[in-house]
Amino acid sequence: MVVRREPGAVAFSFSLLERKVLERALTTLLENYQVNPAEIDERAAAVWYSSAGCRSAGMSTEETADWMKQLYALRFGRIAILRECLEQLGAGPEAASGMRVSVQQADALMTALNDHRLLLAAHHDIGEAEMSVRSWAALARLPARQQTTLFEIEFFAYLIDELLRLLSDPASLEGQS
Amino acid sequence: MGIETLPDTREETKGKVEDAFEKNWNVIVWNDPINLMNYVVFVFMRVLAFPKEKATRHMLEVHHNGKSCVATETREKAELYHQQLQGYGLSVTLEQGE
Repeated sequence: MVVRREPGAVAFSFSLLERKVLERALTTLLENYQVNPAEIDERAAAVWYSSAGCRSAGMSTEETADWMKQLYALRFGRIAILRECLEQLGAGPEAASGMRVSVQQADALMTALNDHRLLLAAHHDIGEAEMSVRSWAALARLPARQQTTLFEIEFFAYLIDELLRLLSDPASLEGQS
Repeated sequence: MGIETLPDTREETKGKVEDAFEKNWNVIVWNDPINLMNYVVFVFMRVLAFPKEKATRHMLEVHHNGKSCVATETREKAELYHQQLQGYGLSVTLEQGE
């Protein structure tokens, strides 16, 4: 993956594998962002729509429902940018492809990708112990599905790190990566 | 027939108004193993308008102590922060202070 800053935007180039992983993430996010909090699966609800804060604030059932509706709207508002990204990825050649998002859109994309990391961890029981794995030997002891998930979580961490670096680095405003 | 008097709602209303404007709601952010440290700093800067140093200090407090009180506000403002921070994927609760 190559990420570079362009005037007013961030541009990405992906290998085929990276593109497939990102396409799958964007598709999953698009599906889940459209599901009402009351109908979304339990694990997604726990990380995206936790009502712990509403309970601690002593909100009534109605207040909590209203608050959830607004939180749902926040996530639903990211759908347009995710669709745009998915279209860009699909428009490129099979072997590699690129994507360009404006600086304003980069915030929503980054947050959505972070949501995907939370979702992956919740669905595959990735917690503190798994995230602390720092050796190949320790990784190999985990079930195969958790190993794959950890790679995916780390790939999106790298993407988010790069976005944060480019968005905060004044030197990158001139377009250098 | 006994004489019934209307309850004095003035005191009750006054109490509700005072509650609404009192900055005694703590916004607590909790540690989790998935959110990246620099992402949390970014979110604190974006939502709470913290300078980078303050955002980093609170992120480290979350990381080392398990939680950090990032704001003490009126209930309405605290609920707004709560929603925005949770919209960014952070674990947040509200606690009423003294």
